[in-house]
Amino acid sequence: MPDLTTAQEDVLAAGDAAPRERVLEVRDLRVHFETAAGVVKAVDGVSWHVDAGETLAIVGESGSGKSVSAMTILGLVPSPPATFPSGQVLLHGRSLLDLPDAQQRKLRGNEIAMIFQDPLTALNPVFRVGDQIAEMVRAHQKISRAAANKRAVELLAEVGIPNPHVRARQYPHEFSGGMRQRAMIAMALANDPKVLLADEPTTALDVTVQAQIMQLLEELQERRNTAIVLITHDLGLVASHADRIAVMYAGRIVETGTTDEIFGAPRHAYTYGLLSSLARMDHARPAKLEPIPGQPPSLSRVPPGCAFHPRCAFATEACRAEVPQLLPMAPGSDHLHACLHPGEVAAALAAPKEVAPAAERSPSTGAPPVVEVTDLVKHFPIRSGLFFSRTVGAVQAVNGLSLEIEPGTTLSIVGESGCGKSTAARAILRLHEPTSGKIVIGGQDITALEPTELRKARADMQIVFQDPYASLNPRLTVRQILTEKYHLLGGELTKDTIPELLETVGLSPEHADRYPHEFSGGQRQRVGIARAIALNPKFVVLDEPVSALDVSIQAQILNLLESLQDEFGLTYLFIAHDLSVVRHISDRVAVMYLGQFVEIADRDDLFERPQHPYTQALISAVPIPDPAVERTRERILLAGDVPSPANPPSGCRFRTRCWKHQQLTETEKQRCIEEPPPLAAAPTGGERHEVACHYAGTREVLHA
Amino acid sequence: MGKFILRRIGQAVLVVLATTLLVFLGTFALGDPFASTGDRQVPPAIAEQNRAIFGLDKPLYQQYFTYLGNLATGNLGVEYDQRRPVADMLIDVLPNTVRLALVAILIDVIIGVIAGIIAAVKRYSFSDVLVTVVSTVAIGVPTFVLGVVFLAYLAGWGPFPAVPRPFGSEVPWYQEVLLPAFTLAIVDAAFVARLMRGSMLEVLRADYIRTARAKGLSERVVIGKHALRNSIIPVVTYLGVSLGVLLGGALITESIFQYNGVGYLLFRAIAGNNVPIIAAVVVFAVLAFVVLSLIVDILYAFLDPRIRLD
Repeated sequence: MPDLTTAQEDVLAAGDAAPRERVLEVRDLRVHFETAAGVVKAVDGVSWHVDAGETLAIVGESGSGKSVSAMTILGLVPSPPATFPSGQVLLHGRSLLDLPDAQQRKLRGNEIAMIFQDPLTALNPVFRVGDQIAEMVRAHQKISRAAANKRAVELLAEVGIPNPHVRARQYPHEFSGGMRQRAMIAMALANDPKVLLADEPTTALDVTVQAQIMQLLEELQERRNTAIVLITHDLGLVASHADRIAVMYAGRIVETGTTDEIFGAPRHAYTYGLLSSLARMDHARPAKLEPIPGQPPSLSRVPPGCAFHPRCAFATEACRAEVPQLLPMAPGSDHLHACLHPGEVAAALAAPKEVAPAAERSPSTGAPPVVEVTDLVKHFPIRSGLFFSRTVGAVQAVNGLSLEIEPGTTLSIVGESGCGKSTAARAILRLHEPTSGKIVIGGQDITALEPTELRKARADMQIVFQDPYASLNPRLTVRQILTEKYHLLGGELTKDTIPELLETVGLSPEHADRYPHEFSGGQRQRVGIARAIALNPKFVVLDEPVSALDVSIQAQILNLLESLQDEFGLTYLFIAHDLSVVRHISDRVAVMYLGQFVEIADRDDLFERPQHPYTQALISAVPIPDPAVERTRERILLAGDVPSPANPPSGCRFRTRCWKHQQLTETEKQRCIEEPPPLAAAPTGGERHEVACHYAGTREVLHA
Repeated sequence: MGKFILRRIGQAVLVVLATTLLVFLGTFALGDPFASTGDRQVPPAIAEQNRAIFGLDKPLYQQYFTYLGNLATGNLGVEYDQRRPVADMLIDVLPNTVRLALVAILIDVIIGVIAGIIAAVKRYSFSDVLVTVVSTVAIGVPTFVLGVVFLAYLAGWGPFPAVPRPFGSEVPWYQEVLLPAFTLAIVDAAFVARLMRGSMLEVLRADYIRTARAKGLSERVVIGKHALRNSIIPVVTYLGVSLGVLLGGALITESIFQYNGVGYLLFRAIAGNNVPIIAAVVVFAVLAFVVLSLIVDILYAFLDPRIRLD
């Protein structure tokens, strides 16, 4: 369509005078998939644009169509099965979808580059990292192999990889997760693209690494004036890093505006629902999270009218009748929403939130603890040898943990991946055999129980796993999964047991004869919880129970866990990396680093007055879903990655990455190097606040 | 890697030792090759003399240790018929079997890998269905049927020499090897095609293939470089083991085409109860298999840098 292109050039010419140059524009894009189950409208009439040097965030839950639209821009959605009933993608006014394949390919990786969620699988495992970057350069520039290799090393240096010469010759598996994502970014930037599509770029990474990566992206954006499209489900990340936001639901944009508008004055019921279902790290907790009921619709059966209406508290007949149009808030405003009840949303937003009473639970009841762990150690031997293997070392996954959990309370263990928190939890249940230490649960010492005795004791100690897809046997029905418990561990099983159990976790009795694959992720996790609480255990380990779930579903599960705790007096050990969730659900929090607790305190004390430099860095790295708060916060960036637990640093294990250690004098440093700090009462914290640092002290990291 | 190879060689020695014991128990220890049977009467004195020559009059365990000692020095014994050294006979036929095995594997790779790639890249297309159907049929037909069909309809036609060869005719090796190689390769290639297809389909779903496309690489590079290097790994494993098996002699195929290789030698030895040859061929076959497995494992680490041998 030559006319349109000319028209676009005019627009572009006019736009040149404007302060910002419109780089990429998507107009009324539709991507449908023909499947046996009907037409899946993955993207259904989406328009947005992004300017040079600007970050547009596209926010949505799984299945909202946010990734498909990005893949379409790159021309990577195979057709068939996809069809594109309408839409244009304009790069500097040039329509991409009309270009022949060969020309689209020339733009890919050159003008538009992309980084993906999982840096572990996004790099080809059998080629050297430097070669993969050089390949990107040579795909679009006519330069020699040697020059491309040199460029790859320069790029690795630019994204902050130490020893780039050596690193370029290594394979992806020799890189840590953060390093891999840096390498992906180096590759994406190789040809100085105008637009960078970042699809969940930090979702697979730890918060401390996430902070490093996001800072790197911002620096590079500033230097190169790149337009960034940030696709994510993480509203916290969006609050601190996006200029504008588009919220997607069921293949459509339901609201778009500046970051301040979306967070400060949301007008679509879904945006509001997302924001209020979010656990926040900087808030005294509300009595309950306000989850969005139900689950996101299947894209082959999108409800008529406003797709959100079945889950919406404000829905009326009009919402069911027709699809609301995306319209400006006021004439000329760039804040658009597709909601028929913006007034009600605004009123709900203004209404005061129910906040939990200050002393909801007394921090210590004085009752004897349900769980008592003393000096728990779990080492995994490293074996080597020519013909007969012998132990040559040990991965010190858990190195001397002691903890107590009082009845009916929740202790959370937080830490980065690889810190040993899951291993510790499993060792406490003796799912891993502990190397040494003592475990007492419900007054019974289970450390040395024989297998038959241990099995009996298991009725009192249960676990909910992270991945609701992998932790339920796909060949068993829910009824079989649950009754198996009673057969194995005893317990009275009547015909009402299973229906009651299912109702307790918010499922209906008819669900009993279904198989796990017939459920959504949230429902599966409810089955996992039902399995754990079936025999009225005293103690339940929750190993990252919500981290695989969508934001709106997380709140449902967290509320369920809380009400079960209140109803049955359950004692929880909650393993998590998400500090916002931890702040919401815990009574006490322990921070773990390289197999040891560095700090343990009552919840509010820990978040308001963290004493250990690591805790402070961890809290500062978590983005808070409020742009006003985010602008004033300072991030403590930790250098590098977690050292190997097979060969931990001497003295204080954290000192190699510690920001405080850098500021000490040489003599003070010596103490960190030589003397492992014991876990002792914190100098300035509250009661029951222990910290393992020679130079512990308060630093404000939550608020400005 | 040195450590790994050393350990594997240690294991190989154990495997070969165990094999010799089994072979010994299964051949030398069973029956007397010089005993009189219905159609072959051996005078007792001559039988006694023969047993003494071949050491069969000694106790079994002594025979075994003598055999082992000879084996260690490369002496495979002397066969009963013409009393030639077995090692010489094996060396005579070995090049033929190596040629046959290599040509068969080459055909495997060319047909199997290409068919597999096409089937995976053009999934559900006509070519995919064709590859799937043909490979199913090929796997289902036993080698001896295929061999006999080839023998009946193709031998003596075009480039394929007649079987048995007319007296005094000379045929270059590459013509001689064609029919048996195809017979062996067809079933194997069908396996390779299916393996390649499955492996390629899995790799094509991988994130790094999406990355390769997002880099703007041509589909030829995406498939031929990024996908192939990853998906070929299980195929290499299969082919290596397959080569190991073929080097031990393709008994049925070589016999059908009267191809003068290790397999045909074994066939004749079995027919004549020529125990030293049988034993030697079996030990050799095991050795070939063990060595090839070791090579495959080393190759594996070479193809996939994530695998560390130590």
